Amino acid sequence: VKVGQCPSCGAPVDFNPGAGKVKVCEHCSTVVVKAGTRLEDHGKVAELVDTDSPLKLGLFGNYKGSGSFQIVGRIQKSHGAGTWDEWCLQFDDGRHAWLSESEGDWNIMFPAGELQVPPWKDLRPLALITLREKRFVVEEVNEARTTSAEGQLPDFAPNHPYADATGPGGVFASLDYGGETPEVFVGNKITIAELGFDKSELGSTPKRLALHDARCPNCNGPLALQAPDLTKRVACPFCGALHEVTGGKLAFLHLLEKPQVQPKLELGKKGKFEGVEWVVIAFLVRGCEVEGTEYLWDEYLLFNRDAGFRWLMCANGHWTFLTPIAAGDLVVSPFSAKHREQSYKFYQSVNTTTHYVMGECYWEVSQGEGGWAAEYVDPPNGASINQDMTSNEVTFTYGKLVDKDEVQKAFGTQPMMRPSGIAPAQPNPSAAKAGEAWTWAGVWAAGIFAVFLAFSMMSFTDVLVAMDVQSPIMAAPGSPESQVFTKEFQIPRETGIAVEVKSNIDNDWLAVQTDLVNVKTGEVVSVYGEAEYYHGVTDGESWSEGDRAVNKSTSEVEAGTYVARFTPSWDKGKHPVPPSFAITVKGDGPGPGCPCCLILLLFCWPIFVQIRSSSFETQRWNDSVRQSPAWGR
Amino acid sequence: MKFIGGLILLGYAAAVTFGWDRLADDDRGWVPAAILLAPGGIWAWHDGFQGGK
Repeated sequence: VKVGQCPSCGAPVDFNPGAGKVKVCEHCSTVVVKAGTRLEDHGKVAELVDTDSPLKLGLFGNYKGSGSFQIVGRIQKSHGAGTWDEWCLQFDDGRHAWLSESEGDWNIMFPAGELQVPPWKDLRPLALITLREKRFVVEEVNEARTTSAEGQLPDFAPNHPYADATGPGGVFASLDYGGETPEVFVGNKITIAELGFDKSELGSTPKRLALHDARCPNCNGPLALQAPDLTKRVACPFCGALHEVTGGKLAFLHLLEKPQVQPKLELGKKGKFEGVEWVVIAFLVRGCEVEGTEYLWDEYLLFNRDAGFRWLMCANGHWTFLTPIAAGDLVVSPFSAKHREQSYKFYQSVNTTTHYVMGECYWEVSQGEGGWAAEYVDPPNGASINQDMTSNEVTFTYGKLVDKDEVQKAFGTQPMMRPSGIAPAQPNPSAAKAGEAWTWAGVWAAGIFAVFLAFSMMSFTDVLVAMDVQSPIMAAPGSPESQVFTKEFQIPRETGIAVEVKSNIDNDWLAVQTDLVNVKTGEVVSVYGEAEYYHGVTDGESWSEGDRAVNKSTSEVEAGTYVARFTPSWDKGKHPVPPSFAITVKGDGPGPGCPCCLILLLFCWPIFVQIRSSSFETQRWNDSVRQSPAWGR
Repeated sequence: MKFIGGLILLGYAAAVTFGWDRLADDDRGWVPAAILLAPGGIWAWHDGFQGGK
């Protein structure tokens, strides 16, 4: 230990070797900086604010993989709305690290060495930076002031423009622009238990804990704080007084406008979600204005000592359970967001206002607080990514829709109102059905088509008779003399028979009786077809009707040897001579019959479900809106 | 859809397997045995015509 004299008060100042070149004089709070062999006076710091932290200088601990350490220094920082501690840890191997507390989480960060980082003024929330080939997303850009310090520190800067960023897997980075060159610290979230402190050495936090039974300084109403050690602001549910929590005390700030609505979940109510018991510690009403209409929604802040904070949001009776996630685990674009390989579609972005607040909050909440929120949705999973942003900070939450009955059951409340409208991430009840219906319609249509193809390939369609028929000149219509016989022909297997008659009739008719006679059995299968074709001009308009050809079919005809007999009949007044015609007799089955109607029938249901699904989506996206942040980025 | 489509397919397959009624236009009858056995056989059969206008 090297000992010198405080340049301000002359008191002895001791420096542990390797533990930093700055020491805060224990007697006069002067910042003493070691410059070679000299000790310089860098001004005084204010008295430490009582943050009621469980940590103190001199504590020994052990951090996995990094070895033993001692707390050698502490600085207190403020950005105007609250003070926090950062503790300097000196490891046995000479390295140092910083331990800080933020929103109930502890972060340990180690210097990352000299790294190229963008200038502070160029950084904005959501900016991407690369540190050692890892992608980080900036979550907060702010400026803090060092208000006080104690112990031995690596260096000292009165002002700290900084940017906090997160990388994949919960890695945390802090960029400190307080010195001549930016310093980068990288680390991650930990619990106090992971730091290996001797529990008996950890100070209790009596002042904070006393707030469990705090009363409102304004109306004396019981506040019964659930997370007094993590709370920064408390809004009294009885009188609406807003208090700041500082040094384990409640300091009255001002009266808030009291909410016009009562929370559906009372403050202090306990409920179990995902196997964790949560207590409702705050109720907020937030809203946005779109095309002159104000839309409001409720937000409930939930707390669990081990799991931290969560949110329950209620909009139009639709409930969403929200879990904070790191920006570093997301890839966000104007049209989509990606989290853990799952894509979310942009749904809306709005400028928000906090209208009412009640209960205890871990941030410096205020009535009228503005922000900008964006929502990305994954309706099939009822999930969403929610982005809340101010000009200097961005946070993300993962939302999962929960049924109102589940909320009611978890918190034991009165029956809740039925949801109205469609929630942005609400699963489309017809989408899955439509998909299934299309799949099965496709499968069965393919089956029907396969049957059709198979039977078509097996069906008999050979031409048996094809000839021009001309009855004797003197024959009378339909008379035995007019009849024309074919030679014998074979029908090789049982099949339907198609008969086609083609003629040259003009404003006339021609009828042909076809008799297929089984030579062996004498069975006769007869079809009668009549072609008629008329045309003319009536009142200057030409017209025609009928057809010069006619087709007829038989039912199944046995295999065998046949003779066909054709008996024509015609208008003898017009045709003294029998008209000639062409006739074709061919196989017609057993055909499968056209399955088109059946296939169309199969697709009726998927089409119907698809229309319903599309209608649901149209309604959903009708409410989509895109507003730019009010502060203009 | 899963089951109704299956029933439609089964119905179609049954119809084409066991006979698809194509709204046949035929009438059935018999040529008298005497004519079949007579000289000329079938070619001497001139009865049975019912059609014509």
